[in-house]
Amino acid sequence: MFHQNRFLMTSTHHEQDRHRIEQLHELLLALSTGDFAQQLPRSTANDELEAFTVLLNMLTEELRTLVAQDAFYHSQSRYQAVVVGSLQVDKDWQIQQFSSSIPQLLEHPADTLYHTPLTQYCALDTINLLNTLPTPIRTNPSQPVVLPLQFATGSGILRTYSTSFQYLHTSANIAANSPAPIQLSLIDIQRKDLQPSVFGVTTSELIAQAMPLVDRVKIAEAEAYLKAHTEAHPITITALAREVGTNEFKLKVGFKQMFHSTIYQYQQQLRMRKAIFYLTATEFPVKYIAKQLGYKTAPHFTKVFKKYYQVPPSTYRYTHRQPNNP
Amino acid sequence: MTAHHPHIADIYIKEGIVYCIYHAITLNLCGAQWVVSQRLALQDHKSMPVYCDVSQLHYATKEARDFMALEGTVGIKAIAFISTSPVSKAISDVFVRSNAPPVPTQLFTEPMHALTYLQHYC
Repeated sequence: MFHQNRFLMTSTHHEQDRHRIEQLHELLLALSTGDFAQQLPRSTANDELEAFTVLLNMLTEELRTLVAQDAFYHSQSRYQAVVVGSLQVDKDWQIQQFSSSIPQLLEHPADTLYHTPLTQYCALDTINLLNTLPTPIRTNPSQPVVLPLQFATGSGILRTYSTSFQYLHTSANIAANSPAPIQLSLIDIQRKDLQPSVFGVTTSELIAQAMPLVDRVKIAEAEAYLKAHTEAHPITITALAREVGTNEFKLKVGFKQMFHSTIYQYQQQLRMRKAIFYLTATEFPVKYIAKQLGYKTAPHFTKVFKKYYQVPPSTYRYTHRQPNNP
Repeated sequence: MTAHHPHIADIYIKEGIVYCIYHAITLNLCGAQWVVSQRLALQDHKSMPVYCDVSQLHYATKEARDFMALEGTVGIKAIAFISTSPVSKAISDVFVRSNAPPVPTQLFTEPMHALTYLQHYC
């Protein structure tokens, strides 16, 4: 009896592992076609297969970010951001209407979607997110807000879409004084050419146009150096080129190609990003923050900050302080 | 002094080292911001080495990883990650290789080895 139970348990484990491996295959196939919206569902296991699942999910996120940056900043990019489907839900998240692409995107039959709660098709993190929607949606409903929503598809794979929310105020619901429905638009990053047969050709074309690996590595090193030395900014192109062992021209052109920003602009962005963090999450005086970010004087920092965010640091701190840092 | 959040982490300072023990959660951007602001409040403007136990961590989102690699390294001399499970090792491997934190960082499975490494930065 004991042996029989052990055999049944082992066989169930094998069955579960086989299913997890099938899902890994599914994700790898999706990646190979340029689809970076998918994520693998997590199991409760903490074994090598689960670690591989985590690695693949993280890889997908990194690739998606890279491709999205390219799509948003480069008009010549092979990728573009497109609305792939839309849904209308009521105040209780019940689905009222949806575009014809939604059943295929979510892999659920159309007749099961009507009048069911959207949360039924969402991953757990997304359900939590919907239950604690950011204030702009509630306080200023005419402004669209974009959030990453993760849907659980019929095949068990999770799909992430940047989703814009907007209240639809119609004369009918204003007259009836009833809550406005919410329009959700699912945005995806897609290849402009969707012909799989072209993929091989475009890959070799891309390789031909791409920077040599050695140059890419040096530019990535330069970016890491800028991140690590924000207190030493501004760092000149000459000094940075010397630091990573390349020439100024390659660094200047390559950096712009990889990060869509000049080296000077990038340093400024890093300093401002850290400034925001210091102002909202710490009690450090503005003078101290200016010094930490490599500014010689606090007024100089204030001037640059104001140019960037239209308000002085003290005002920004007052209006954007984090709730856990009153 | 200790900062405790039941759904994120425990943070405290002992013998010049900041200890950050993550709970069994998915770390998102809000959680990462909480950890860093609490750590800085405890450190009181001093730069310190950090012992970061991620063994229980379930996942860290892209936004959380990016935040931790830049804003999250403020006031840190060095980081020792402790990961005792395959999942937590995968998370810390990706963080160190892909997000490339700009401070000395090493991965450990033995807490004692991590503390020996951090002693050099005390």
